[in-house]
Amino acid sequence: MIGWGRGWFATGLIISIISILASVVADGAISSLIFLPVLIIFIGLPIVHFIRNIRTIPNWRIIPISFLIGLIVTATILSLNIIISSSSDHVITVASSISAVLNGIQLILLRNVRSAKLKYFDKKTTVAASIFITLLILVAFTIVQPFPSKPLTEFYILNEDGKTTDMPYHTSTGGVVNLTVGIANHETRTIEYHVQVWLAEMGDRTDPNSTRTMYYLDNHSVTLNHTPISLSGEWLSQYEFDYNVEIPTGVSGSLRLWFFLFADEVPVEYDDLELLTNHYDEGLSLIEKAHEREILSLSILLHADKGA
Amino acid sequence: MAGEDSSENEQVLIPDILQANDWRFGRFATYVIILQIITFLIIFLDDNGLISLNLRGLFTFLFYSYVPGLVLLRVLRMHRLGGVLTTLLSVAASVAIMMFTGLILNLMYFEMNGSLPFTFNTIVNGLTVIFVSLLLLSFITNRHYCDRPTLDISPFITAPAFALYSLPLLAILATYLLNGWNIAWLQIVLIIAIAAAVMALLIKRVPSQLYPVAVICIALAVLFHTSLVSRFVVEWADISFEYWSANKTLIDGFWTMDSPNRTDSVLSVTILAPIYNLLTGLDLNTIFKACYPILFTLVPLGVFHIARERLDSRGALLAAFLIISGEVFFTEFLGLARQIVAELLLMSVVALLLNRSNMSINKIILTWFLALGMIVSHYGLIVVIMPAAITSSILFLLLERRSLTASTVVKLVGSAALIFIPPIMWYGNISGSAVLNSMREHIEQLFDGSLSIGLYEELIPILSLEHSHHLWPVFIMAILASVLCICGLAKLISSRHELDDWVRSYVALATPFLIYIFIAFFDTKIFDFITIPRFLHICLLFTAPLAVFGTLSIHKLLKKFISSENVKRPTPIILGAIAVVFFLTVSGIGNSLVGSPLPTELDLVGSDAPNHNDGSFIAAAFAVEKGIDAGRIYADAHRAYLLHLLSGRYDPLFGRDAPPLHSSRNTHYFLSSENLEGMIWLENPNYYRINKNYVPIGESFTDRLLIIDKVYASQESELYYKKL
Repeated sequence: MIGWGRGWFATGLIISIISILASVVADGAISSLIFLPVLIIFIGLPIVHFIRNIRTIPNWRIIPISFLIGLIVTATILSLNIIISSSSDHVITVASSISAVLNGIQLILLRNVRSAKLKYFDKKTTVAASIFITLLILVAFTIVQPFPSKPLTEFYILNEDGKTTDMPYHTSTGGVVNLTVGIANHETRTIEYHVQVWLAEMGDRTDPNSTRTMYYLDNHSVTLNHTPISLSGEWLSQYEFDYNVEIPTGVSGSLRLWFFLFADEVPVEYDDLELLTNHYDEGLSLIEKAHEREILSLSILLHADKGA
Repeated sequence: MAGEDSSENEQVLIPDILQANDWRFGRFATYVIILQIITFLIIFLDDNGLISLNLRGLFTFLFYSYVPGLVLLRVLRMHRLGGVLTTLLSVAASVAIMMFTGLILNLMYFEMNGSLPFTFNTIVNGLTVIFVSLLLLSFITNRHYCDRPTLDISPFITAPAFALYSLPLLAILATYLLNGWNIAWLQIVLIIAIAAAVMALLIKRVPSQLYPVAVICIALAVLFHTSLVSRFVVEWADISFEYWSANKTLIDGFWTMDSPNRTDSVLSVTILAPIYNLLTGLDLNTIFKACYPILFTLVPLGVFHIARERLDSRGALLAAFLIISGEVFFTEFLGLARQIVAELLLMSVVALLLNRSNMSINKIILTWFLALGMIVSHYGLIVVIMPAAITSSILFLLLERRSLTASTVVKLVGSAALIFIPPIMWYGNISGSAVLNSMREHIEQLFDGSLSIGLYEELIPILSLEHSHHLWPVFIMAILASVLCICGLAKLISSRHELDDWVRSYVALATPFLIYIFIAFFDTKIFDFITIPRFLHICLLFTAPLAVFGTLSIHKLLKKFISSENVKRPTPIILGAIAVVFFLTVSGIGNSLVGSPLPTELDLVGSDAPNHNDGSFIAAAFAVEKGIDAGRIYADAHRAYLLHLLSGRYDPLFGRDAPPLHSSRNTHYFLSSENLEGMIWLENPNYYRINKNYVPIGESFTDRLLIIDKVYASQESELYYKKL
């Protein structure tokens, strides 16, 4: 069926060396991927070849036994590593080095031995097998590189207890509303975010178009790196900051507290606005953009009594 | 088996690993212990980040789904069953062992203050104890048996074999393209390749060993081309409810036996899925989208095995393809993990009953064990099986009347008792008797006729295309299958020779399901627990071989009356061609040709099946975690499933024309996907979870959202809070 000649050990030596290099320079996922053939075949294969000099092993058993030996050797190295340094940092390097040495020794020992003549498949089978192996490699690629997610940013507010329920409502002029604002960057690039906080006085809390004034209260900027979306079902935060809003003097009645999020930079028309000032037109245009979902926005309804 | 083709290639014989239970004990024990050691080593290395490509998931899934059952077969001295039946029984028994082990650990936790059952250590320890105990038992009961079954692997490394292995891989790649970029051409290529493979296997003979492989590969490709659509589970039927039942067990660490939901009452979901999760390290999405479909491929394999007792491999393949080609097989069933497991166990029971060896006590023990597994896996299937089992028993007694012995009667009565008493005890005690009460109500409704819709009101409108267009091809195929089944039954019974054991058993088993098909024509709601396509699918599991028999008998009849030159094509190929055309139609190829709306597996974005994107998923995870104190989290019909699978909360918006405006406080509104573009899926108040209305979200609802708090926003989702 298959001749276990020098070509296999040469391949084993090359892949083991690549695995050693990958364990030093690449991240964990890539190095463990390159280590996989070393684990499955190339640690055990030279050892099986040594054993074959002593006793007969049928061809079909070679890969299963090589796999078992590869697992045992790697698990032993891992156990020793955990005992010595409580980590698994150098296991791939050590196991790949052992594999390289064993395959190298076999190559030297077999330098004068002619490989057994391989029996090749017929043409049709070779084509079908090649297609199958190509598909297998592509499927492995889909596991390593899942299809991409749509880039997105999460923007949210929480109450003092870190929940989205029991949001503040009753307050007073000069009173403070305590909130937590959060952002998570899943846009696949680093982004500088700017959160603008605005306070609107409303003529009627049940009429979204009754905005009378728009006070620009504050700006908060932060630069966030991309963080992958957690698909485990457990939600994970990236960046949160506490935000305490003081209701300005003279502002009362039905209010709506707005948070607008800008990515990269604030558009010129909303930049450098004077704080604690009514910028009605700019504020209204921001609300319009928020309603059209052109920018990410959050808002909560408040009611401020005058007297406090 | 007639007409098998022997390979011309040189044989390459290895010990038959599919029948390792027949090996010498020492060799068998060494083999399974080494597999167990490899499994432990892979888990150990994977925990430390040294294994990639989900190798742990694949290996542990295969080990725990196969080896414990194989050892049980050795304990029960089940030998010389052949590779197909051994595989079927090993997997079915392993699944049952896992479910009952989980149940025992759960009971020990509640009754004996044992350790928390659904943790990795407890499950691995529990299953290892069972594995070692079974191995010891097999040493005690069956250490002397020795055989040397061999497997010729040369057919498995030929061009047709590689072509078959490529089909599931092609399905994975096709769904990858669809999920990432909504590109469906590879899906279409896959469907055509599957159809071509079936026709090629029916027309051209290949080595007989390849036919069961063909059934598995074709079934897997057909299943994967829909199951792997989307990164998350797609709501084909009840998957969000099953997902939550499994997820709750994982979150709590134990199974709550008195939870009132139907899906909480079955071990196939509440225990099996969490066990797979803990052992394989795969998340629940992957388990429901990949592991359960793999188990499901053994159902058509079981049909293949049954049919091969009387048909050649091509006829048996055709019988299996009749199952695979049904739309329900690769859509609705993907949302019914509990029925997948129950059908796997059902097919193994049927295969055992039809096995020609004597009904030894060990075989009966295995049959009962698997039947118990089936009972605790799905109530709906049991409700269908109960009357059929009684009818089968009576038929069997009639057919066996000449050679009837007291022991046969005792075994039959025992089996009948097994079909009735355990389900009543189980569903009467689990989940607050909710399922048993539903069963009782349903039976009462059946008897008083209030469920009966009838021929005039239901069937004629369906067949005249007045409504329920989706049922039309199902009924047409059912009518065709019925006619062929009657011909097959007539052929089997009218044989000049005395009916042999197998025919008597098979006729007794299949006849009630043939009667069922006819009843279903007149009463489309005969079994409330199961939709009509699923019901017909169950019937076809038993009658598919009959349909192929019928085709052959028609072919012989035609040969008598028409000169053989005019009947050149063997009828299995004609029936195969009809099945392939039916498959191409229901899989959406026809839609793409005529420009009709495409199914989800061909158009992920434009279809109406509830599927979820990454942005919706994390927003829903945020909503259920941060909004835990909210009275309700309302969402449209599709997003309500998403919230349900993550938290068990299910608050869909009901309505016909526009979403309702609730007055209650402390509620969340979750919007996502098409909601942000102004459209919404509303649950129909009359046909809850069956019909949904896709309507514009409307100004009233939008204005309502603008005056309440908006607490979460992303490009994909929004969460609102109504506090006043």
